[in-house]
Amino acid sequence: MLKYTLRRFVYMLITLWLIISFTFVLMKNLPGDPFGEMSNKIPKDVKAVLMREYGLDKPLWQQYTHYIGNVVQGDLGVSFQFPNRKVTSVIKQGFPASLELGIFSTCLAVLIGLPLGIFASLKHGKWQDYTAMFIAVLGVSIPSFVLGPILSYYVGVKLGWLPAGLWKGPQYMILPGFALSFGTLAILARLMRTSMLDVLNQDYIKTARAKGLNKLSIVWKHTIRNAILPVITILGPIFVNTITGTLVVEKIFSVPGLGDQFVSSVYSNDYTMISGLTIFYAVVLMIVIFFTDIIYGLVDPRIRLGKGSR
Amino acid sequence: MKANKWLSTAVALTLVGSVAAGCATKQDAAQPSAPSNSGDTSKPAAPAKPQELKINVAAEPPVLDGSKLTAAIGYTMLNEYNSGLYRIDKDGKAQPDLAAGDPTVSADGLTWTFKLRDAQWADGQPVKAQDFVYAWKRTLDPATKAQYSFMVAWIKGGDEILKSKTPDELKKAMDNFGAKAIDDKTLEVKLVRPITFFKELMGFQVFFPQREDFVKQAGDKYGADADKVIGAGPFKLVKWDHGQSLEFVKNDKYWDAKSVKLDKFTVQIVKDTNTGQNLYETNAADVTEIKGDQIKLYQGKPDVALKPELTNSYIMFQTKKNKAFGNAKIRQALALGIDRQAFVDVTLANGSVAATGLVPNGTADGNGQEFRKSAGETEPKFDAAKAKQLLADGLKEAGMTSLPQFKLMADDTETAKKQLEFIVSQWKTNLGVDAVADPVPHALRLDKSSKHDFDAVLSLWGADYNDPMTFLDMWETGGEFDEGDYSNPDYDKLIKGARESADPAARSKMLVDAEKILMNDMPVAPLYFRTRVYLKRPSIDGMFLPAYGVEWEVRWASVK
Repeated sequence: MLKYTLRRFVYMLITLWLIISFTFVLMKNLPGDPFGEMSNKIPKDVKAVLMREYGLDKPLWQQYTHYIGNVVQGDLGVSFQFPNRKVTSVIKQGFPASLELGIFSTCLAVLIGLPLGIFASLKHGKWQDYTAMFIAVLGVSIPSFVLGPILSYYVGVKLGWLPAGLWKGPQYMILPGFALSFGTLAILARLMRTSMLDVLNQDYIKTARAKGLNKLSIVWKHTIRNAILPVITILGPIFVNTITGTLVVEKIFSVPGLGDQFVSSVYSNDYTMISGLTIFYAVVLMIVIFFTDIIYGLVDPRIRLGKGSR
Repeated sequence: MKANKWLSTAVALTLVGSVAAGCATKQDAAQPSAPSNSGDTSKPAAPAKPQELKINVAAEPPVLDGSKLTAAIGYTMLNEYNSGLYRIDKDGKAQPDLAAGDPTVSADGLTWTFKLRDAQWADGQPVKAQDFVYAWKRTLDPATKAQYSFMVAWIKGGDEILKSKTPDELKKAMDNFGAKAIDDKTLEVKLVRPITFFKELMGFQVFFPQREDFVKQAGDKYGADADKVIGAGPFKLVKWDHGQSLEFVKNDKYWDAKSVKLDKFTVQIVKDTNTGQNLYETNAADVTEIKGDQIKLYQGKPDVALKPELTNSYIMFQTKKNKAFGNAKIRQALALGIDRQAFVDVTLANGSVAATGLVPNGTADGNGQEFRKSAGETEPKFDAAKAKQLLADGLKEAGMTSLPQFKLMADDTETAKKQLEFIVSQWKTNLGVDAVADPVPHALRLDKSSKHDFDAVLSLWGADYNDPMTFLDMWETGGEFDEGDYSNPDYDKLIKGARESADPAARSKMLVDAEKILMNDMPVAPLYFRTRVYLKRPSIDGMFLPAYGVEWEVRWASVK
């Protein structure tokens, strides 16, 4: 296990290095410079001074080695959009809100989506199934940028039940959390249902039924445990996506999260922020995938065996 | 093994479990909600309304450091917690703030002497002339990486500091800098050339003072958090939740604190204007900007507040690369072939005004008048027939039979795309000209423009200071921003003359003449002067939306 973990860790580092290098090349090919809305106002000689001070006049390979050197020391540099703020501090300040919202919405999605899918599969072909799947289709087809404003306006403004936006306490989490979870919820429900149906048709389930095992035990022990594997697989990346911030929902509800940074840093050529966020995202994703793999092994003994044979 | 299975099943649902647990702890961790915790402490006279405001802004201030700021949103806040020698009032006039009265100016207009009043920083230390000199030198120091340094370089010796490459050069340049503290209360500034609007310029936040000891102590965190910020203005910043809100309270140490009526205002970062509107409707915000279709909903309501800006929008023609656009008549034809009033009504409908020249309404002429009034309408009115004639004449002059298809570049925002379509169709119907709309990302537009790589481009330009020069000196031959490669010696002469002149009347006349030449040659076809629209509670008094520089000003605001 230790050897396995170590090897995974080395692979992670290599992947990370490739991602950083690739991002570096891509972003340096973006047109324009990182001086934001002022960019078209700064006289050329002043811009030359700025380029020199930031080291942007150096050849690309020098900038690259310099950057990698800093990253190895844990220094992601200072953001161009927010002078005087380190990239790490911007991430540190934006991440908690995104994380809270992401956890809350994933939690909603799992708590509603999975039971919905299980329920639909058990009532396969009946009206309950169709109703559940209708909700799921709605979830997949209504994007958050439609659902968000509708919730904000009707629940927030017209009914006045919940805050229409901002981020000041638990009640501020409900609408954005729901808007964010609806799509995931639908995906999970559909996937769980399909997967359940698959498993329910397996011979061993039929055998279990024939042996007279009680229904609850068949569903709980034999069906769900086998059917949940694909769900776990996609839940990892979905979870990472939601906790690292979502542009649309965070914008609609004025959540002070990280989502906006992913877009604004690219638009403003904030080089340090782009690579900082890429590294951050990649690391979180790798960690979650790593744990997903471990969970996988715990859920399905066959996977543990398979690993042992290597 | 059995027990193990149970364990595994439990772990299978780990995500469900941990996620649920996560929710619970997170909710517990959240702090009490904000409203209703203040305002009722002081109840003086009868209808005491809490003197508090909640203002939405579209973005986080990048940093609150007078040297490094570039965004209007940051200047807006800096302007509330710090003060300059002067403060721009609702009529755009410079009122003495930290300065005690008007400056004395030498006959050649090059030396300005300011007397400071007795004022204090928010921590009680006296404001000194040295604080101004320090701030300006810091902005000019290349190591600071300030972007607005070019404006401070108008002070004598500034350019030398900015362009110094070695520590020795820098030290020498610093010692020779043209701004000096004669004593604690007297500031003398020598300029490279006369600047008639220098007093108004002192109301621009780049020229506000900074405290050397404070800046040094905060180090590279200066201006990044609430406790890393200090000022001598009407308010002080007490809380800054990044990405979320900034809280300002009245500064009792401000020299004119008694005239400041607001006790507190909170700036809320709300990126989406629809959300802003929802917050306004639910009383979670008192001021918010609205755009596009939102504006129609509020037409005629007292909540609407207009912000006519010193910002123009124009089409710039590349006169060298594109052979046809080298001809003035063809450019005139394209300018005259657009119904600017219809353009504004169809694509904006937000109070923006169809252009009548290059310099926007409200711009001062440096001689006590509004430039547009002294210049009159310099841009010819929409006239399809005349435009057609001009196009025919121009083509003949250029030795062409028809105008080849060309691209009109603009940003790829919703509004800009709409505008592109409108212009292209106007040219097609009024002139029979084939143009192709070319929407590109903002950064790409700036990049291509700066490389002079375009046929025609739709641009916006906002004033840096309230003077026609900010719009006119761009078109000098070989100028930085003359991206269309326009050149006219007569024009250059007038701009140069105005720049050197210390006589406001003569200068203003030269600038008017310059604009006339420009509107005759038409290297740029002005389209409109931009206006933005806000929702503002009718109960707010004395808050205004300045035409340039800052988004709003609440120093004189109160709640009725």
